Amino acid sequence: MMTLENLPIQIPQPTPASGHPSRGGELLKSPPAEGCRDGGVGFLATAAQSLNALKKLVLLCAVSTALSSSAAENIIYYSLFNESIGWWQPSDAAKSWEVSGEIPDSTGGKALKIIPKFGTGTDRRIMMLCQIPFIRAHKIRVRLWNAIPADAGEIYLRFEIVDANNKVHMVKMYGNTEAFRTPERKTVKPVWGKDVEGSPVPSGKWITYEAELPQDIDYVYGEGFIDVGYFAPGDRYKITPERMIPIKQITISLDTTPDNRLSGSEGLAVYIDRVEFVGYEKQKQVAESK
Amino acid sequence: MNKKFWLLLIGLFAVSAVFAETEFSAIYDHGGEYHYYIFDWGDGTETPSTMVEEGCGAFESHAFLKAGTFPVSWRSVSLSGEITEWRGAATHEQKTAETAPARIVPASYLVGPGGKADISGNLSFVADEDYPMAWAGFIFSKVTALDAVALTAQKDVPFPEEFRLEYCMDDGKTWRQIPRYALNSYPNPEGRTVMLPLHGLAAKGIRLLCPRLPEGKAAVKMEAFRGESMLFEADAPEEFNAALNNMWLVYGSAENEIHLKGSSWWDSRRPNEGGVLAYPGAEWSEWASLQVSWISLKKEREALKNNLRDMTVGTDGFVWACEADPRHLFHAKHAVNNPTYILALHRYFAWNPDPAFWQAKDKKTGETVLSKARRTMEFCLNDLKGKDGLLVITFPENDGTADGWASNYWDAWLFGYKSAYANSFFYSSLNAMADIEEWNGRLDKAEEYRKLAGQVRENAQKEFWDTTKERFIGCIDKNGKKHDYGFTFVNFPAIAYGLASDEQTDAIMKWLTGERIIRGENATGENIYRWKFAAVPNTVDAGAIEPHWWEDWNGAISVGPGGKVPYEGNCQNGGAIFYISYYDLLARLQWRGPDFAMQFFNQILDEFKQDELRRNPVNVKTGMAGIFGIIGPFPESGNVPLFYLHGLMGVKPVPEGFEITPKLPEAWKFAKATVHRNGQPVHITCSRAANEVSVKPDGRGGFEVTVPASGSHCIKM
Repeated sequence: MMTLENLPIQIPQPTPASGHPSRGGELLKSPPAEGCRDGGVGFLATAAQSLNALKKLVLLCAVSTALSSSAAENIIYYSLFNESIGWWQPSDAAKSWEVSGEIPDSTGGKALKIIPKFGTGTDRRIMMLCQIPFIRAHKIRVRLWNAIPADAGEIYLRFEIVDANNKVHMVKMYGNTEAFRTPERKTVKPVWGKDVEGSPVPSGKWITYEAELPQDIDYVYGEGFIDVGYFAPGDRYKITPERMIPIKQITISLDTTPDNRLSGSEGLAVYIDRVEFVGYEKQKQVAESK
Repeated sequence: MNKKFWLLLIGLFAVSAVFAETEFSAIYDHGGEYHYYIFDWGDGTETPSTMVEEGCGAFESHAFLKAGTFPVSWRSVSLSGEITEWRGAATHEQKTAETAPARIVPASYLVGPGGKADISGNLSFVADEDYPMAWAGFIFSKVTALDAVALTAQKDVPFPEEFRLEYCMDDGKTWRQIPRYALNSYPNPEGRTVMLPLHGLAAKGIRLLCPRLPEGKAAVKMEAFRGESMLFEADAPEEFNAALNNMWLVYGSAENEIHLKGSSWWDSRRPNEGGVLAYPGAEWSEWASLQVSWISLKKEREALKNNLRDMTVGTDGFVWACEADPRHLFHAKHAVNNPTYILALHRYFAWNPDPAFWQAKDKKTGETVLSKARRTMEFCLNDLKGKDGLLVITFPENDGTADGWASNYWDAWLFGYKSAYANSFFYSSLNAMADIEEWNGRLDKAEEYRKLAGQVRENAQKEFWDTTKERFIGCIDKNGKKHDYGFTFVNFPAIAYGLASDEQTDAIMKWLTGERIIRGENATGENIYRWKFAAVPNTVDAGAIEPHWWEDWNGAISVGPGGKVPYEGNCQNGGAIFYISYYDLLARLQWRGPDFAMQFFNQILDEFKQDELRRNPVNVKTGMAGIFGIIGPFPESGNVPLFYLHGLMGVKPVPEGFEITPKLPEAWKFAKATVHRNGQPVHITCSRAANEVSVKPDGRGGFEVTVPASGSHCIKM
């Protein structure tokens, strides 16, 4: 029986880019020779590595352009920003919090603006939880604009999903984008109370993070919060080679390092523009003749 | 296909004859995903259901506009776009055609980015972006009750795969989404017209919004159809009638909401929470009766009747919280279940006076409804000492102290022992039980209960009255200590149920409307209505008095310094729960008449117009929602629009017919409502132009009743 624990984790291969503006626009930009942050691709590199990366990027762009017409994504859910309903539930490290239509370089719609309130020592994580309709998705994308200058403090992304079995999964999120799916370029996943790992969220740019499921699930831990009236179904749902377990909740955490200088900072914000769930190709079964 | 799906697959059809429409059901499981069904009616039309959870079915009804034989089938569409084949074919015989609703000719059309429209209803959408939010629609010449919208695919252009149906009340400036019609992965209707029932939604305009156009373009012909007259129609501006009717549609019948369990009797999980018809539990039974007994939906009235018939009454006479357990949330017994159940039975029978109801037998135990009602009252009288002149909650854990357990709906407050809240319900249930006994021929018991009701009223007025603050306190615990936090949810029902004297009513209302200020409390004067749609439940912070008289659910909603729930941080502590406004409005009506009550009613409707009161904000400090109790697990929100029917129109059902005592605002010449009595439609009009009562058939199996707008009128049906 296939279970999440014994599912082999495969190294994902780059797939052709879609025409989505937030991803396509940044995919086609070259990173600066000196490294990642301002180039918006979420990795640290030496000059030599940057050149190689640039060559790969150019090659990939060519491939992507050629193949872009062949893979229209089945994007099944995106609209999660209705403030009066309060779909997003923040932890108490959120100093303030609003849904705003006035977001720098946003490509339409609204975005969530979070002003974190990182205290000294203890408050190093702002966590936002969002319950969603149960969706089977094989890919998740989230788009962030980090308006906090890097010299004020690094921000690290942590992403979790809760599945319909009520199990919490830590997910590796690859920033901009599948071209850079190497272990060095993932943005992962600080452990509670310890030093953060992985790469910081670059500041000053929209960065799209993406994970494929179940390949990018890093590990599974614990049970999620159980709503009153909804009981954990145990292991009722199974991953199959074709299907991920439906997702019912996502949690985005923004973490800082112990030596951050952000405590007491005013008005520094991080924006989340869009969360996308990419479904499997639609399966239309043959209609029975009537 | 995975074996699991086959094992889980149940395709069933239930055909039940409804007064005007026939209903069908479907059930499928996509292995955990949310999904919706599409019913092909076999007459050239199809209708999507509400989105549902895994393994949940859905019911849809359809008016067949032609006589004939129709093959009906359904399929299921998951959120990720898995679409089943057509299933469950059955044949429906329609003997006579239903009446077709009238098509509305739009006054003008409106378009947004990527949209085009013409006055004939041809809408087209073109965009080369991924999120064009393309839209087009039309505006009507006046606010109209909508029966349905029809979408027909255009030749050679794709049908929109992802669409939202939205309405406006202001010529297109502000659009509101109709919750059940936000659909993804909609399959090509293959020549059928997609019918989207709107159940009388009042609107000035309607539009189709396509957030995405996967194929870059789409087109439909959109037509809107007029409903019958509005359910409630007053001699008031059209915006008033629209807001009133739409408030009922969201929070009363909830027909356009998303019902994830496939039933409007359960709330939907975040983020799809919205209006709910009713809850089947004992504590909600009176409110369920209030909302469901008289509506046109036969299936729901039947569900209510069966729920009341099968309510679990323990061998000791205590009414269980639900079928599974006597305790609320498997935690504490709520003594108010008993009087509430009696009130529910009374109200249901008053609307549906079939004598066989009292002899209907519980499906599990075989006990009759009448026997249950009597045992329920006996428990109040004996176990809860009500026969001595006040109800006392005698359960050891519910002693009313700070170490006790909660005893009622307001389950963070530790009401117990002698509870003013419970005694309002008990008092009212004594009068209700008196009626029930009278209806069943036991006049001696009726007299006994009415006399006892008088004693309870007299005792409660003394026992629970704070002579300093001039309001009812919450409760007196077993040690004699009084607990009071300025409970509006105790004082408003005390007035509405008739427990309070006129002098007490005057004092309470002056306090709550700000004419009298009680200093030193967290909410005084205007601040009591800081949320506009309802008063705060308590004017003193739960954390203000030590020890805290508050159930914090293992620290999850702790109060006081350092607590997670500050004042205004929870619907039970300084936030607001909407249903209280029903009692508030009735209290205002009783105190200073209809024009005074209308000031608050109009304020509520103005709030509704902003966002349909779909509010469930999160406390930034705690990350917790639950500041307001309006949508989601608050079906009793639907009580509030019924102030129009029971307050302003003064409609009181009785087994013989109605007692109608209109209290119309001075500016109104009339007020109308359509109700169902024993399943028959009755169109009631209170009119200043009428000099006498008139009852006559409406020619369609129902009745038209007209009464003068002044005085009190008994109508025998």
